[in-house]
Amino acid sequence: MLDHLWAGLELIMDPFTLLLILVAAFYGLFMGAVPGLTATMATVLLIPFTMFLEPMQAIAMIITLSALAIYSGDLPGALLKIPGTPASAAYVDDTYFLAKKGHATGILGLGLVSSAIGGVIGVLALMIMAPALAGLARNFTTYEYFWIAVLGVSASVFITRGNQIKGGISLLLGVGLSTIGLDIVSGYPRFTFGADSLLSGLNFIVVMVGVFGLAEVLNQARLRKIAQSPIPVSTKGILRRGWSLSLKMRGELLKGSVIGVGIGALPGAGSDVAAWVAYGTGKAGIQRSKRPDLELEKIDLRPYTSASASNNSSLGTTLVPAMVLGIPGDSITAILLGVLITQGLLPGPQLFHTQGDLVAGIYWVVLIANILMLFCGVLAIKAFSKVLSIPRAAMMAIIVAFCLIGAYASNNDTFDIGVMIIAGAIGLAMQRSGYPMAPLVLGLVLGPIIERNFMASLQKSESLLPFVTRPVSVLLIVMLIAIAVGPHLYGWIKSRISPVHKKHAQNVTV
Amino acid sequence: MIKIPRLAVAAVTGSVLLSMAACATPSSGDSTEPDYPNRPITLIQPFSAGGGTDAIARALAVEMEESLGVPVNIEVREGGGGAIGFSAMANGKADGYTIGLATGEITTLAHLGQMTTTPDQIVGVAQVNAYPTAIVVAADAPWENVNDLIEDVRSKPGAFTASGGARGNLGDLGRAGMLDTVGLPETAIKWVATDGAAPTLQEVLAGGLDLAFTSLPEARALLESGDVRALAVFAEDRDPLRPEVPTLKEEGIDWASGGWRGIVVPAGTSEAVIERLDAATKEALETAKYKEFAETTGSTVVYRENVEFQTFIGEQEKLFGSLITKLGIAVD
Repeated sequence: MLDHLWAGLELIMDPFTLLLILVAAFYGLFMGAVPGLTATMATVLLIPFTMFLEPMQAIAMIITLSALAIYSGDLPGALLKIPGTPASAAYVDDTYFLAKKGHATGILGLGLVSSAIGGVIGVLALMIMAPALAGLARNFTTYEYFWIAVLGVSASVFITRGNQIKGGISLLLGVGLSTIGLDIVSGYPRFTFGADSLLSGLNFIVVMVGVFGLAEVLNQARLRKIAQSPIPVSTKGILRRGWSLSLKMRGELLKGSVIGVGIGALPGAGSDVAAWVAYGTGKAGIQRSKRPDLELEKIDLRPYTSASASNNSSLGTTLVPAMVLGIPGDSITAILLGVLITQGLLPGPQLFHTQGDLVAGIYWVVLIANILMLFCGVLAIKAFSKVLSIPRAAMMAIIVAFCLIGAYASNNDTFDIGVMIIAGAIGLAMQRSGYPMAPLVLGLVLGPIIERNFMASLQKSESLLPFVTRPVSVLLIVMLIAIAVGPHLYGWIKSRISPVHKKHAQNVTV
Repeated sequence: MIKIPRLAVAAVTGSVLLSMAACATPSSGDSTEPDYPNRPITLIQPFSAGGGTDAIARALAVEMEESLGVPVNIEVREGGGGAIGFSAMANGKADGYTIGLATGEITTLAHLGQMTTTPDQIVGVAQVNAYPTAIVVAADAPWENVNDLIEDVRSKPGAFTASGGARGNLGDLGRAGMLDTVGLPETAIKWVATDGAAPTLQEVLAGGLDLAFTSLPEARALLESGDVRALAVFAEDRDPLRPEVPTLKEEGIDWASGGWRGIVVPAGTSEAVIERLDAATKEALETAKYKEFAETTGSTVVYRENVEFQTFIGEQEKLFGSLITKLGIAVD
């Protein structure tokens, strides 16, 4: 193992490879920060280029760019209310609200540091437990996938600020919209109205760009608040502040990272579900113990910290099912797997023996990417805050242009531009009536996972019993109940014991 | 006033120079239209970026560029199990600048009622590979060979579950065709709809499903590690990369089916263009670089020239069409 680690490090410590990693880092930051462009798209554009590289270099570029793109997806979320990924949609309300209140530096610093720490914990988990984590995936069948997705969507309703009924309605709308397209069980096209472009359903990236991006522009145009001053961002001491804040929440960081590591190792669940579940459990935690010193403008920072850590920690372990079982969990790992195979490297348990150096090299790359994230992230925040000093009216026009490009680029289909515009109009209407948008997006992402695993389970057993009798299922159900009723139950018990609550003393300064 | 004519002169000179340059590029066979191809070609690829079809499209495009002397750009048009990409291929302009990498699904989707485009809206240029369906089981499965399995199924019809993707996909049709050949009803092995080969194999490993109907390259990692076994492959000949797996025909079951990939163009494209593209595809398949790619990815090269390929598409369509009608799984 130690030999491999050294040899792996030597593979990376080649000037050209390091240069490629740096290029990939900036490329990833850029792609993630532009609304509508995603880590997946960034990876796809890189494929032809990887054919001319050594395996290690190609893998290093893909891992680095995806790590950085997933982080920088948080930036437009916090500063423009347009989340870059469904994962960052989990906390976009918190971050945008705080950034508007002038806390952009603190919140972005905290996000950056907790993402990096989560990422490092993810690598350590990958190093120590890769084979064990692969075992986890072997115990997951359709019943467990069903429950884990239900856990994800339930968390999205539970974390809704304010009216949870409206959160639930938004979620159900998302799940409903996810039924558009070809039903894989019967092969019947549903709600496609004869349009071939609807056969594959609504693309959640397109809908997300519409309900967040376009809707926000329309909203600002409607309010005529376009002249409003830009959000102030200063990168001075951002890492130090982020570090001290995240140290205060090390428990949350660890919890979020463990959730990320676990869910990341399940093919198909990935960082999106991890972020939502981490946010949900974080939210459940704050009901139990109020910590005014960890609040900012009455918003507890712990769920955000936990979610930030979890989506980056999941990145390391999403490689596990791909490398050990040859089963890719999402499109980025599928591309990575493709690159491995085209380079003549066969995934599987034997990869760890026959290509031990390369595997160790991959560990190092994930580690380097997360450290690089700290420094490149600060630069990205700096650059992004410059973008924000562009006159608001011009900025809005640019965002609309990016929304249009992003929608079209997702599948080179003009039909998706129409979908994006309609989603924008619906988003505006929902926003005006106080419906949260994030559960809708998650419903769209997880709806098919829930439906397909439910149907596959029923087809296998023709009975509902295995949903509640399998050990892992039971564990997931217990978690679900704990997140849903736990805090209420705790609050009730607590109110019986000590009816007087101490008021909080001071807020934390960031 | 003076500037505009100057610009026009420059443009004319430029385009003359460009077309001269285009003519100067070596073109094989003078029977082709004199200046085809003289601008970039778009190659439509109907499945997700990074997947198997995408990798082959990209590897092929790089080699075809060499032979054609113009860039070949990949355009991903995924969705509807291939339907969106196939429709885009059929509806492209028939001038040889929009071509596609079609897959076996193009012969089934219209019969299943999942696509309005029919195979006669495209013309086959050249087949590039084939990936027959195989039966894959967990290492500890009770069956030694496919006849053990059939016997077991015969005594316990409906007791075993299988998948490989959506209802009506090539794995499902392969399963139905095999059962039909041995005189068993389609329901004898229960089909569970999943999202494709990856989740199916994960389920087989976790003990959630008994059988996977996927291609051998898709199960490659798990076959190498010994976590799964292949009982039989639905091909005419054994896979040279996996010679230990017998064919279904060797085991006494007269059925062969599976997927394939090939270059197609919209119907109405001129013969000369088709021939030029066929030659370029053949050349690409024969390059050392492509051969190496095919070997490392486990994708066996199977080439059929355009007339032969066109006949093959017709036969496949008939085979699956009658099977789908018999099963009654088409959507009206």
